[in-house]
Amino acid sequence: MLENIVGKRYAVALANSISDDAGLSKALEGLGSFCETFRTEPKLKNFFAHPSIPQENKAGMVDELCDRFQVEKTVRNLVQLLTERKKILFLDPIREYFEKVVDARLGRARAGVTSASELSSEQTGKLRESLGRIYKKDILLETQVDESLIGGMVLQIEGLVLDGSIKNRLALLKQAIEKEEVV
Amino acid sequence: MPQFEQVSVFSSLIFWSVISFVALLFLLKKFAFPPILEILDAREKKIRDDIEGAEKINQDAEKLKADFDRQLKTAHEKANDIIQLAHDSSKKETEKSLQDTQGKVRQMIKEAEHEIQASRNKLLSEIRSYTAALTIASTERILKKAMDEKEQKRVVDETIEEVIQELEKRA
Repeated sequence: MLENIVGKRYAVALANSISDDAGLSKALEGLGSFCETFRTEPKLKNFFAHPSIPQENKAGMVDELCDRFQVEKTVRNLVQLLTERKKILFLDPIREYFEKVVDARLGRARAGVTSASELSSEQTGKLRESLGRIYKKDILLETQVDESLIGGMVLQIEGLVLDGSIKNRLALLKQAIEKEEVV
Repeated sequence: MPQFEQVSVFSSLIFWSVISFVALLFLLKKFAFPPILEILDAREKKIRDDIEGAEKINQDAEKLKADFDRQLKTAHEKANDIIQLAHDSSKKETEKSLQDTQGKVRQMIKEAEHEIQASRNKLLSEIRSYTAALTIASTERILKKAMDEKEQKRVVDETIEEVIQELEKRA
């Protein structure tokens, strides 16, 4: 709950401080790099969360990371502010909410597609085009492969999940057999 | 008659005889009869008292008999009442015991039926679950073998169509 509130507040502030669309995309990319680093390096989280490590050291680390990722000034300022206010660990929800804000401002929607095998460019194109037509937005399609689905695919878009995988159909069939009344 | 012809001879004798008789009678009446009469009266009184006493005893005995009969009757009635009460109580106890036993038997039957039904349902559920798992596992294995690249593409194409139709329906 608190994460959502903090995430929303800082994400909106960051979005408001960037006027051009390209800047928004770059800022999102920069935040994504930070989050990815925090995910892959758990020690980094401990470093920022540790109360006995001086604030200057944490600020120095932020500067170093910003230089490495070559992030925008606005993102650098935001991360420094979060470090000062000891809210750096809320970076994930901030990025998630910022992504939504950016997508809304740029008129685009993200769709996640999980399939049992790699989708062809023809299939992704058709999906992107159809979804864009239905939602009237540019669609950012994120695909991933999960062989356990056996066949078909699962689509996630704007909080909606449509599961057309064979795995799901088999699960439904299993439920139907289990619920079948025997006289 | 010759006897009466000699009355004059014996007149003085007769006279003295009469006088003696009267005197004797007087003396007897004066001294002998009263105690005898008294004894007789006393005897008569005693006999009468005895008779009265006997009658009274008889009456008392009758009364006692009547009382005894009445008490006996009451005792009989009480005994009958007690027997009836005991009989009723025993009957009630027997009926209650019978009802209790019948109730317990009914409850046991009901519980047994529930248990049988629950076991049946559990067994059927396990059979269904096992059948479902077996069916799905077999189907999954067959499908995995059957899903070549071409089939994968066909299924994904179909799914894309279904998803798009569903989204258009919702839009």
